[in-house]
Amino acid sequence: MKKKGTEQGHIKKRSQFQETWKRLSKNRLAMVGLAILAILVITAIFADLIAPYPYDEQDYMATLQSPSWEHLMGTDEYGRDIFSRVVYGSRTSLYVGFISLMGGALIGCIFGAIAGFFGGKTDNIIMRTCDVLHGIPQIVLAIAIASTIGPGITSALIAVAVSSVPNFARVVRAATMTVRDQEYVEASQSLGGNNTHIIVRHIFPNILAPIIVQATLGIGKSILLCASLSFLGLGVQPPMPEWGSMLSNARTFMRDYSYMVISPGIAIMLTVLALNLFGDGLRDALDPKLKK
Amino acid sequence: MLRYIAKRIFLMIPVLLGISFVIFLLMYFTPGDPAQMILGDLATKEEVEALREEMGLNDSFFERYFRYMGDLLKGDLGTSYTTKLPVWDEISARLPVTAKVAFFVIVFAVLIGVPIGILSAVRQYTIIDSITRVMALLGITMPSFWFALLLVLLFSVKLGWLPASGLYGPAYYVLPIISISAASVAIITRTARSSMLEVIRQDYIDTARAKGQKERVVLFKHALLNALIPILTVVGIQFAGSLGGAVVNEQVFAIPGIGKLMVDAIKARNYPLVTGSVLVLSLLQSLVNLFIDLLYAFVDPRIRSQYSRSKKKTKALNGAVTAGAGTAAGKGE
Amino acid sequence: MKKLLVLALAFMMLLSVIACSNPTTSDPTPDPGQTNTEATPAPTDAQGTEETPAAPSAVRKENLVVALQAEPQTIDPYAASHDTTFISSEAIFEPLFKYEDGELTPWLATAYEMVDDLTLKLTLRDDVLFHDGNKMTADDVVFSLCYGATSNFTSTLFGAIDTENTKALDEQTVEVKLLYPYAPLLEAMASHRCAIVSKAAYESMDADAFGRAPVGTGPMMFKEWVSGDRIELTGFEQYWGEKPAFDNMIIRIILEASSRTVELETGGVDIAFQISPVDWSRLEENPDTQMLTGNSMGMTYLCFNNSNELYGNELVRKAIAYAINVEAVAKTAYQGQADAADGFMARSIPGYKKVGPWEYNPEKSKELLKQAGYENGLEVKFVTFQQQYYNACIEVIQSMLKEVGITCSIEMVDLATFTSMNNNGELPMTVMANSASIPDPASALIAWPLSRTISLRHNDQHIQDLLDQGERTYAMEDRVKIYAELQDYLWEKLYLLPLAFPITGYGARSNIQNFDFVPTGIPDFAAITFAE
Repeated sequence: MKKKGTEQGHIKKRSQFQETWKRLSKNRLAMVGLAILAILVITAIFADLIAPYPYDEQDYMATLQSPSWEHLMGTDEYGRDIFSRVVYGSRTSLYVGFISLMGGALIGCIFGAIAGFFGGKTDNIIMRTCDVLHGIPQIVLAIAIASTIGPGITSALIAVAVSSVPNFARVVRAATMTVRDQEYVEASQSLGGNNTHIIVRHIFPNILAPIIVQATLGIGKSILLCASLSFLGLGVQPPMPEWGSMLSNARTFMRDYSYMVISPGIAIMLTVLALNLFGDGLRDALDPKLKK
Repeated sequence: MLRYIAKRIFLMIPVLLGISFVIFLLMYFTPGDPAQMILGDLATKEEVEALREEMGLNDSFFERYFRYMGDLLKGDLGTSYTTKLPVWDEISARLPVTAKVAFFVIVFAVLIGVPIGILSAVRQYTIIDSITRVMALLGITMPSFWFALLLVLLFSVKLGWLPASGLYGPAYYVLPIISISAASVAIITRTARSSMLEVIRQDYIDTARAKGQKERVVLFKHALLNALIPILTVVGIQFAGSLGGAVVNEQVFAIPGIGKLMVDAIKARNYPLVTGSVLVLSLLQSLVNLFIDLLYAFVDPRIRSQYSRSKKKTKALNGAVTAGAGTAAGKGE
Repeated sequence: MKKLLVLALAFMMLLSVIACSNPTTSDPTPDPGQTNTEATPAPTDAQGTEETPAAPSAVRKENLVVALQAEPQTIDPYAASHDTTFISSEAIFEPLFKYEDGELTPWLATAYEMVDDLTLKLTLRDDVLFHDGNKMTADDVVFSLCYGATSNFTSTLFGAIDTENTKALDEQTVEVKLLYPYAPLLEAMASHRCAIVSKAAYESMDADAFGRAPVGTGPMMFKEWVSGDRIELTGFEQYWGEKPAFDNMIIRIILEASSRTVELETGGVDIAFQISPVDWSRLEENPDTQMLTGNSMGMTYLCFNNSNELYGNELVRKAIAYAINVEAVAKTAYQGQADAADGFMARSIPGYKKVGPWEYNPEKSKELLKQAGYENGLEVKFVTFQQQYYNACIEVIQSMLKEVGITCSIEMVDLATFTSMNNNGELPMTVMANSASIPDPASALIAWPLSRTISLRHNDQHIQDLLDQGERTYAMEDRVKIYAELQDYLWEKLYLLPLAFPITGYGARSNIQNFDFVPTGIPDFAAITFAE
């Protein structure tokens, strides 16, 4: 999405982007967040090289082993190497987080922009639909989807995506409405530009900031929601490693083998923390009011 | 103003209709047979079929939907498949528990979150501020069942100060409230901090200071009042969210709340109970939202005047408010 | 001021929605003080302080608090097949006989006489009252037995009873007629599945209402069911036998296993079911708590859908079996709390024969796969639902099958979908368990009769013949021979692969005495006494 914004190629845009980056890079916490995120992404991409064991290799001779040089984070009840699972888990968690958010953001943005731009009846129908979606509890939605297509990564993805649609739609709608009446939009309209063109070309780049902020913070939320779903048995299915399900499966061992919950727990916290730090920084950097 | 309320309540009707329809549709397409769930593994095909017929499960989707809506208009939410009790009885046994917990949670979150947020804003860049921000982030980042289990292990097992589960007296509420409110406290703190920061920078605050007013008066009379709108928004979102039932926490603390009821109902394909509880919850959440919107008017005279003016403006305003707070909107679970 | 009024109005509205949803309490505000009064029967009150010595020698307690892993759907033991129901109904109802030290002893029936192979004459106690005050008569017993014979959930145990010809001879005598000779009859009448219900009470309510407010003859009577939270029973004043050492029994529903353990440790409950195996040693070491464990009457097995083309092939089934290290599956999946299954029913069941466990031999597995024409690998699928132990077994098996070139996917569905698939024969392969309701081979082999082989779908008449023979033979030594033949045959065919004999148990506070592990998993609560 960020890419799209820069591809617009307007000189004005570019300079705004650069300025935002300049301000962002001064925010130390945001940079820490960005660094953690970068490490996570690299870990996810090169999981095969980093993980010392396959994530599903079981060793019945070495179940529930405390951390050692052989198993950096110990082994679980099946004798699987927790470090390897945490490493591979970054793939799943980031995948779930990003894809679900992308899906939710895309749909939410399109409808939000349409609602905000056209107003009137269209607006009313879309926003009421969002209210309906919003009114259906996330967990109910997740369970219903999971029962239909079976629990697993896809249903978790869809549930998280669908339930994030209303939030995006609202944010984008509000942002669109403020941009809509700006002069350049009116100018383009008077020049006979068609609506899709105006939305994509003029409105979208200008509402990108709230979307990006909402998205960065939302990824963390969806990772946490996924962990909650795992707790209810609706998350990612075995033997695929995912931090949330590792954490919830390990909860029965928590008191004797605390290392089992510590590593996936810290992994989740770090990721969500990094996303929040970065998202906060981004919001500050994009907020013109805080310029001084 | 009364007209505004009436209009808002009127607007809830299509939304509730939509929700009932979507839920019905979801349940219709979910595999699994309620009749089979009731009769168990050992029932014969004929018995299951007979029960399906009796329950009206063989009728078409629209027949079932309109029958349900017809009953609903008469104030009948139907009968639970599993217990054969009226759905309303089932819900009313659980809803007060959830509502009570949600209420305490939000009160607790406001009492803790707002003062700390303000303090953090006033003492920006001090140690207090840093600690607050870190704690707030921790509250948001912690998976809630993890936190809940840690609390139980510490306060019930290690220290033996508090009961571990159930809701049989004031002491029983402490751990669930702390655990469920962790995220809300964090989000309210952050919102309070950031909106206070924004207000403090405004000129009129300097003016007030320049007029020689006491710092406390400046902060609470001028600054806080103006910072209240985003805080209220977030409080509303959090309250509505926790009304939905913190399923995970309900499980850890054995709280007989509505979240658990809903999850069980879906698992048992107990359609009337699912639809009924979602509808009741949505209605409640809509009322909370309405109440929060009215509070805006109470807090801010500018908004108040807008209620009497065009509808479009109000909605634009609501949208803007939600947009500001949306980014901070918390994890419901 | 007007705005204030409007605001207040809106707030009231909000509260009234919350409040009117609770018809029993008049106070609309969620006031913390109120919860206090609501909670008069607070389960923790049971702890220590409330002990009042009623009998000179025995310690009495006000409440016995039991933690259950799930909410039962009903407390009518004829309308369910879950332990949660039987644990809740155990003290409310009584069977006709009981087993004491392995001996059949009279309970509600004082004597019995096997008139011929198809007739059993029962003499009943004449001093037994139901909780509603009515006297228990032969009519109630006839009604209960016929109810058991026709109910979906208990017809496996009582289905042999001829409901048309079973009748009361007089107020204290019942003549039970059978459709065919049925060896486990007395065993069934001595189990928790046999409950004498009040005919009058049952007929005055509908079946579902009875399941939520049952009327029996037991030492405890139903008092209150707080949805999702607890079921309360209270002592029955006019109970004919010895009264329990506690006044009330409170069954709390606590879903989370670790929460049940914590409640037991902190004294919030006196007894907790379904303790997670990792917590057993902790409860054993803790001086305040004890673990009561033993072999259950259950068996966990790898279930093949034999009507499926692939699994109908004996070579494939055996190839899969040879690839599985049964010992490792049992130990890993149950965290050490299970034995590798070496037969088709639990060892404590009379007639059990050791035939296994199945040999772990990956080479042989590959060979059989080759014979079956799958030398280039085979793809199989597990369908399962969320059940900790089954899933654990499957995860372990999945990685074992990989070793011999069988790729194995796991499809997780929810229980309702699983039930539907199971009933429609759509399950390919899964791990499941069954448990004998009574210690009798007929009950332990419940997965096998042709009419009930929903999951296995074996369609093997020879099995049915042997089962019928075993069920209809009264002499135990003859039955053992028949069942031995059956088990050898099952082993040869391997329609299912036995995996584990789980060890189960429940935790209790240390002051709970006279409370032993029972293989059925449904202990006798009324007999409990308390230590000083």
